Amino acid sequence: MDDYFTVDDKIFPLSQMPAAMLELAHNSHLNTEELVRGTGIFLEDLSNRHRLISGEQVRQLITNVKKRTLSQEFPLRFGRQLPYISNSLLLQAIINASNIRDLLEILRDNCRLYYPLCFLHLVSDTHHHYLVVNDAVGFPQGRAFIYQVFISSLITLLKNSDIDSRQLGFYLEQSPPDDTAPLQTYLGHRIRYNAPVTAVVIPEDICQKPLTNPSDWVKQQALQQCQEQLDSLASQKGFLESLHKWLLRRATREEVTLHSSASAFGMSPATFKRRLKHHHSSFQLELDNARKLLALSSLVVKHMNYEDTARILRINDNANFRRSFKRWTGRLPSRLQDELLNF
Amino acid sequence: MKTLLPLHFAKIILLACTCALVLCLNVFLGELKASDRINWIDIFGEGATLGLMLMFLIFVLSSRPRGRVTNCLVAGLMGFCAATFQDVLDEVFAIEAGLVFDDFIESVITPFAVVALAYGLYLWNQEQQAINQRLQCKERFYREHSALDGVTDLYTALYMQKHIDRELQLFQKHQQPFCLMMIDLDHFDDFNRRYGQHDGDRLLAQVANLTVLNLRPEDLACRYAGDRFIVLFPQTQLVDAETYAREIHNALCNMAFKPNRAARSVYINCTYSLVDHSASSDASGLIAHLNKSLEQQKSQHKLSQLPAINRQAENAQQPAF
Repeated sequence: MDDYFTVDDKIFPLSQMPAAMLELAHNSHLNTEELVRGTGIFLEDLSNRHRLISGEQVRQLITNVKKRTLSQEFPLRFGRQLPYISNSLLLQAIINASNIRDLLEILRDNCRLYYPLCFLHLVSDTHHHYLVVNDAVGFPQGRAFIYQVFISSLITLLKNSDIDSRQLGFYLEQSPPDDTAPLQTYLGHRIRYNAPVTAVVIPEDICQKPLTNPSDWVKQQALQQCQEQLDSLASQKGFLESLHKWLLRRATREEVTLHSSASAFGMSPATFKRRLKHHHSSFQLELDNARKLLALSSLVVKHMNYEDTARILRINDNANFRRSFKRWTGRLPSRLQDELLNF
Repeated sequence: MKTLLPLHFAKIILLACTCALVLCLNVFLGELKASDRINWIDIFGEGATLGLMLMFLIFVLSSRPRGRVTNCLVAGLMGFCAATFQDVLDEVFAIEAGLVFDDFIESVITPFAVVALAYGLYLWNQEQQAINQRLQCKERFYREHSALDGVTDLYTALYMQKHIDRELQLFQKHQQPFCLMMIDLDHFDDFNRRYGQHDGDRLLAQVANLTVLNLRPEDLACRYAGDRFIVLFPQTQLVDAETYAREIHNALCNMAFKPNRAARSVYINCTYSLVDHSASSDASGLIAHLNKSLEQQKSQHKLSQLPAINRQAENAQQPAF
């Protein structure tokens, strides 16, 4: 399991997302020289198509942008540009998606090409589809920023497909900001702050609505070329994504420990812990996160009862499950279930 | 914002020369005191005053362009700096009896500095009133630069929220009515995609300017977020606000915007909603009401819309989500 990228690997083309972010910052009257300070990015390299930078450098750049911009609108504005600065073949596939569900699946499968700062899960029940957004580079301080960029870009894509974004719902892990106006304007009023996960909730009737003039042939060709591009990359997933998916698979089957995880990733527990720390995380955090997602998926999406959910998570005692759930999400299962299901 | 210090290079040189001259006079004509005769507490106290003067001077130079007001302020502050510097040096150098340059610097320059500074402050006050006049409809009662929007030069929603709270208090005390209007540009995303973010920002700035031009002096316009603007009509009944809102709408719809990348002018359309004080008892409720009303109108695709007027006193419903 070594085909993953870490936060130090140079995988982000500088001339794409970082350059566009700096251009927007420049247009917003921010000093770009101050923004690249401490990032190891040189402004003269912005037009160099072959120059790559690491996740760590992107994290530093976002930190600088956050520090110097007073407006909370910046990530939302940047997100509106994102679809047009990422991979053009992917955009071609997205434009030719047959319906919104198809579009979301394309995004989920090709998020590495679209926006490598995140990775996505797509789960569905009979009424809703939930696109869960996760942090791929380990950036707790900038998580709200990178999630807002992605969500704003998704809204732009959906608006282009004549979808009324006001029908969407949004779970945001962040607390409500001082000025909620930008989020309300871009996302609409169906926002749930302090949620246990960040997710976009799309009603079933929107998801299945056929889009105008899609070409299946063009989409397939574009997707094939995207796959070729993905195959040519040294790594298709981030370290955190690989670990997260591994934990999701294993947590229901066996008792996962730090040692078993470290050995699955071919490293010593000490190195494993160090690498997680470098991604601003820890094994316990990642394990809790995976179990939280499994619990939410069972309770909210599959509408299972507490006993069955506890059994899936290999927790024998119902009281233990409720206690663990409260630790993961801050709320008891019954309360959270009501909050999340109450559309 | 960039510093304006380079504009005042000559003044900075003059300050440095003045301080150097004072220092040289003391060094060559005075005698260094023995360390046990130096009163360090005095040096600390007078040095702090000098530091304050220098800081004031640097902020004036870095934030103000050239002009009469700046010249007067700088002349006064420079005089104070020279006098205070001499005061500090007095503690270190003993001046022979009969030499009066130290008294001259301290006692003669200071009154002139006071006059120059007082005149500068008077002019500054006049200038500020002229600037306040230009900020009419963009600012009322208090100033908070951190709530300024960089694109339109209007204040943001947080600033408006404070004003709505104040208007609600006035309504409770004196039954003063007020109304709120929210404006949303139609298809702004399409505009941005077609003409670019830069022209999008220019359009927002022009919409802000045109909205302000169509307001009464007591009204207040703020940028809500994105392509939304919010306007407060104090001491206004809904029926009057409806007329003002229609006028603003007409002005915006007839604005011929000239994008950089297009040969022809672009005309925008906008949707607006209007509520009065009775719609909710708190600012966030009123804003939620405005948003809801606006979204209902947009979803109905009534582009040549009529304003949604809501007189109901019901509280804004919390979103079902």
